[in-house]
Amino acid sequence: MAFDLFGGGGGVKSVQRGTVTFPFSSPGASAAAAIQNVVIAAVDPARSVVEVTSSAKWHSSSTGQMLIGVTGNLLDATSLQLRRGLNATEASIPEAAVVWQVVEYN
Amino acid sequence: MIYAQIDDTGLCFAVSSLSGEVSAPNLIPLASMAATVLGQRWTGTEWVEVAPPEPEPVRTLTKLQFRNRFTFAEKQAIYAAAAVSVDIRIFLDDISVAEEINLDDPATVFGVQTLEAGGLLAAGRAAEILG
Repeated sequence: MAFDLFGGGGGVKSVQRGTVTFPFSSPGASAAAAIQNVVIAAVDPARSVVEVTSSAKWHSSSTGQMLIGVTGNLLDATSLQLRRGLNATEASIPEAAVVWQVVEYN
Repeated sequence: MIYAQIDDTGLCFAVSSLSGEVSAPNLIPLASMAATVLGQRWTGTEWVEVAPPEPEPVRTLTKLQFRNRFTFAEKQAIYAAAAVSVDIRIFLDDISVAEEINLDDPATVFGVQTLEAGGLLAAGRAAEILG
C-alpha cells in the first residue's frame, strides 16, 4: 500500500539526490559562504520533503570536534537551498560535502 | 538525468541526479554520478583539476607555539636581560597573561623587534619569528 503522506493519491512521484560541497571558509567570511543553491527538476514544494545528511566536522579549541549542521529548504519548484548552520566568524571551517535528497509525493 | 552544477568561475560544487531533463547554463550533463568532478573546473569542453588553495599562514599562536619560535639560547639571553630590564619583564608578563599571541599585533611586533635591537636576538631573527 502506498504511503499517503498528503492525503492525495499516495506514493512517491520522484526522487532527486546529489552531493554538494561547501568550500573552505575563512574567519570573517560573509554569510553567503554558508549557502549553496542547487538547481533541481521541477517539483511541487507542497508535496516534497527535503532530506540532508552531513558528516562535516569542525574543530573548536573550546568545544572540541563537533558536527556542522546543514539544513535544506525548497525556495521554489526548482531551487533547493542548503544552509550550513555554523557560520563562524573567528575560526576556519574546513571544506565539507553534504548529501541531499528531495522526495516528491503524488 | 545527472548533472554537475558549476559556479560563476566554472568550479563544480554539486553533482545531482535529477528526475528529469533540466536546461540551465550552469548545469553540465554527466554520464554518471561522478563525484570526482566536484572541485574541478569546467572549461566549456572538459573538466580540469584545480590546484588546492594555499593554506592561509597562521598568524595567531598559542603561547607555547610563540615561545617555541625562540631558540633555547635566545630564551636564556632574554630571561637574563629581564632580570635587569623592566621593559623586557613587561613584554614577558604581557605574553604570559595573553590568551593567544597575534603575530600582527603591534605590541608583539614592537616587543620582538626591541629584543633584536637590544642585541638579544641576532639580526634578522625578529623577522623570522614574526614571519
